[in-house]
Amino acid sequence: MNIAIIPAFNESRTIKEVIKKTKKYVDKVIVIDDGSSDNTFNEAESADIRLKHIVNIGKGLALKTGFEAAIRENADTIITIDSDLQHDPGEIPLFLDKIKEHDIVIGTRSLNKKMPIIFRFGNSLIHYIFKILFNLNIKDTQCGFRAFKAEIYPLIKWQALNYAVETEILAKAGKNNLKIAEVPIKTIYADKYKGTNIIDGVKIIFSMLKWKVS
Amino acid sequence: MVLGIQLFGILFGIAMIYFAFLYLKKKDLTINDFVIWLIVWLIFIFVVSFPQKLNVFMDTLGIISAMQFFSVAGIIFLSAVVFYLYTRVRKNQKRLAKIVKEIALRDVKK
Repeated sequence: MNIAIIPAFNESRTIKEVIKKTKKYVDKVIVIDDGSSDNTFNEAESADIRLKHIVNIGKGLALKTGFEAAIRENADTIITIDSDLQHDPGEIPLFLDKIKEHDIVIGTRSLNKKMPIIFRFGNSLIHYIFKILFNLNIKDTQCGFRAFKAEIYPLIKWQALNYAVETEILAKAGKNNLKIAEVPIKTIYADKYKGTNIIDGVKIIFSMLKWKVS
Repeated sequence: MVLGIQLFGILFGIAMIYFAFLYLKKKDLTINDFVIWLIVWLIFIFVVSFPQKLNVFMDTLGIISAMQFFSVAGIIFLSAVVFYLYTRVRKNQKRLAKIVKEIALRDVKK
């Protein structure tokens, strides 16, 4: 069974559309509302399963809750996709095709002019530090559009509660010699970007050093 | 003769004992916590009132002035407090995350 999990925080404007588009390609959609103060939870009523964090903790915990809910539903493959329409659910079949031969499939946004310059710089910096520390050449370590074989969850179970989760998963996948594939995806940036910021980037770099020595 | 800065230190120490007492009354501090903080602030008041008593330590450590001693001791003490608080915050953050996750999984809407 293929299950998509969508972590959401104050995404009442876009969540409905993301669910509608995602449902075409997976068996079930799980939405995790990470303590939104807007109407995200109610707007997500078309999801097969909805979970709500009573307070906002971060993407890392939202993904963890989503993974555990998906595993309870006997998922074989888990797709993670952002709730702000940054990712095109129409590209899910690319992930489902690749995951047959791999443990993790990561979306790779091209570092073109559509991506704000500060994110291009931040992504490149994290990419090079990650490559040096973990000897893995992953082009886009921060992309949240991914596919996982559900059975590998115990091997990649993460501690990060924030945006560092994306990198921690890759670090653990590398340590456990899991098979990782990359698929190029479209780069879509809305006017109001709420993802990884500069402070998150600095935290991620410090976290990488911590994971390396742990 | 008590200097202005010493008077300030003594009043600060008394105020901190009073705050610790208030927290004890509100049950935000246990009696053990209160006793520890009481000892800390009483030592602080004693040292501020009689800085010459520190000469023995200062000579041993090669520290020239009482002010230098206060600065070094203060930095060491604050570093220890920051580390302790950091570990406590991390522990509580993990506990909170676990509770939030368990509630979400319990109250799942299908």
